[in-house]
Amino acid sequence: MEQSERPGLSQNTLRRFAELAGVKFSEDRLERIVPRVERYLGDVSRLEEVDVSEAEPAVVFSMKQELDNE
Amino acid sequence: MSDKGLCFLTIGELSKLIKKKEVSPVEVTTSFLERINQLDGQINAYITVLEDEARQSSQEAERAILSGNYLGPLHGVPIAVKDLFLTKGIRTTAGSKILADFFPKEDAAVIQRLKEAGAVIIGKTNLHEFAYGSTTDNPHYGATRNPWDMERIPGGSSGGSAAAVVASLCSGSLGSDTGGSIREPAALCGIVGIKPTYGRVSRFGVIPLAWSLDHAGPITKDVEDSALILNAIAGRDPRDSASSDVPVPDYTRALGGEVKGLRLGIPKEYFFEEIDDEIGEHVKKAIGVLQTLGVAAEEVSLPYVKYSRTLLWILVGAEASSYHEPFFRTRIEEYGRDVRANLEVAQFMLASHYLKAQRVRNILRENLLEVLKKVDVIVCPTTPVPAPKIGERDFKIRMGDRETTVTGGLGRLTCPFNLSGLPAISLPCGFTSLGLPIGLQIAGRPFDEETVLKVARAYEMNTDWHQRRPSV
Repeated sequence: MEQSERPGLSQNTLRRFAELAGVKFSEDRLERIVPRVERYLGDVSRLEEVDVSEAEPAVVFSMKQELDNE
Repeated sequence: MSDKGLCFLTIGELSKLIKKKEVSPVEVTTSFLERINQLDGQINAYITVLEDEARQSSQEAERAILSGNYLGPLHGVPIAVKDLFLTKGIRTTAGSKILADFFPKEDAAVIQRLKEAGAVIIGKTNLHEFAYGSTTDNPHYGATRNPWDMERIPGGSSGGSAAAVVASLCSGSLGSDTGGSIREPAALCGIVGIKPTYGRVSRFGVIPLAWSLDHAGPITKDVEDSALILNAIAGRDPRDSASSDVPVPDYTRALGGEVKGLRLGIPKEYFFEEIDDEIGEHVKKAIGVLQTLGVAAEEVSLPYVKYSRTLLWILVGAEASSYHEPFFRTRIEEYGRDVRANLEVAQFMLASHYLKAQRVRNILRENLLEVLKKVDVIVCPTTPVPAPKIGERDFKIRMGDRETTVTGGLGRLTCPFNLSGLPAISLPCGFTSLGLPIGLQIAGRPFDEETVLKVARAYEMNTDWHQRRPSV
């Protein structure tokens, strides 16, 4: 089975991850997904430079509450 | 006025004629249906034209008006709606093959409100599949074409709604906006689109892309028409968990108000970087026009907006993959190429990524709110590029003597206001040398659509870009 040559991620890793999530990808698809997931992980890593120590997550917020509190 | 001429009127103009009984809703609707039959084969703005339903609604409107029961400025006016708003008994595809045979049992809240205002729902417009993209190059229903240049996209995801308005295939339309999907097509088509504050317009019955970012709003020929539609669709709806009960003003009252003394914030970072030269020039000229009206402009700093595209990508990916989970597991082959690719990558997003993104989103939002304590609105371009060609994947921009590929796509400048939930409008502020429209974006404080509309209307009244129409 062909493995991705990129460091860090292999098709095997993604296949296993997807299976745990209940999704099956063909080898063809996995081959195409690997670089896109790597790009995504690169994007996410940009957020490491932001200090979030005092921030809570805004999952679904209501502007109403904010106005009421003012 | 000729029947054909009725199609070119704004809602404001048309409603006056209907109210005075100088034209009938039946006459108006017939004119639009004829124009759709003539032109939509080329433009492909509609997935479903509701000919029978529209004729029937227009007859009902005519009877009501003749018997003295005039409901207001949308009564008897043909409005198109993006095909991801649920319409009772009428096919609602979300631009997908997966929902090609979905006939909802009830109307979306915004559809109910339009009907209560007497509007004639004339059709369901094309969109990027499941609203997950910005081109409206739909693999299942065909590409919608930009009426300014049929080789180009109208933008998206509400591309059909924008193309229908600018080609006068409806009087106004509704779109949805998760990362810019109302404002971006409005900009690329040279018309007006407003994304209201999150919670201002109910999302009930809107097929979701990402719950925490989805907004519904109008796309129209001018700012007054946006205010008229917003008047009808805004307000509390207990069926939407994020719906607000902040009172809804009459938005038309803000139009024509004094703008002298208002303060514009011009972002120092991000919004004017990596944009096409011609767009930058026209937006700066637009700011100059507002300054001549007595508006003060000052530079503001928004250091966190540079993370917007990354945040949007994570948040939309995670939320969309949750909504699509049942389809994705069993009907993956039925997705178009790009939406499928987005959902595939989203399978590998972690909860920690999502929560980190939501935390950074809060910081970005706080920064915007802080800036909006000092200025009344933020003014910037709507898109970094004019309408790209259909099928074009890398969007090129000209900056000085070099050409470069824009990073972050068409929604790069609109998504900060989805992340922050702030109201934002796009209106035309010029054309490129190739004759392609350019959009000016104005964003304001939470629930202060009035100031956003007031500034936009003041600009519009002092320029004529909104009166230009493509020769279709």
